[in-house]
Amino acid sequence: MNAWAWLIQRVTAVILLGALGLHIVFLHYGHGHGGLRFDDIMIRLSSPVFIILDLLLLVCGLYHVTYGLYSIFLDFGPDVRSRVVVLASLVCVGLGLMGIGFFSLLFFK
Amino acid sequence: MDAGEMMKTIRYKGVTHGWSSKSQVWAAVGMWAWLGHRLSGLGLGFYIFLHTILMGSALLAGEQAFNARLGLLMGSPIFKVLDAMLLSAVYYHGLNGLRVVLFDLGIGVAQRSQKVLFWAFMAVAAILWIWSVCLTFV
Repeated sequence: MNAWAWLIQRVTAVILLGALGLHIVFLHYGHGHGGLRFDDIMIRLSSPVFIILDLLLLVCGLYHVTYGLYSIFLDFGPDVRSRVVVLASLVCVGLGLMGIGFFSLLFFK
Repeated sequence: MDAGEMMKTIRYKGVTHGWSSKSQVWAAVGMWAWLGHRLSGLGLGFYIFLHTILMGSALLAGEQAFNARLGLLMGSPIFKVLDAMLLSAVYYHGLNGLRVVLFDLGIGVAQRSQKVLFWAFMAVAAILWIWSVCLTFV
């Protein structure tokens, strides 16, 4: 389980390098000087490619962050009970944020 | 030799390294790279938390609310400074992370290779950051 979690951390890191790069180019610089507007988002998210890109970014980003935070926590040598509590909390927060992201990407109008 | 004396010298591959001078602490590039990776990771983790909630709620609030919120944020000079800081964290964490992944794959494992890789990636990060900041502020 730990080995797979570590491997997925590395895989999500590589995916994020590409996906985040595209995200930064399209969202931060792919709009006019008026700034990012709702219409820009509507145009972009009318394409399934961009929806998949954003969902991929969401899932990979949140996994990577959750695992990273848990790794930092483990470096402090916590007992088993603390590990369970922190891991459960991080998973709940991560899944909650993923839910917010999924819902807003798929159901906004 | 007591523990204190042992900590002052590290014998590696037949060469004794001393850790008694402050310059050697600053020369421990790997340690600083690791620390930078941790700190940038924490900052990015905090950002992703905020970004998901703010963007998600703004999208669901509708067109007028979204444009008002984004207009307020992106029109502020403080936002642009924070954006530049965010991009520096993204580039540092991403490219240093790439160095770590290459290490895990057995590429550039030697200490000297690691230092070269680190500084090469930091040069790329600096170029990307300067390009991004120019796009933001110009």
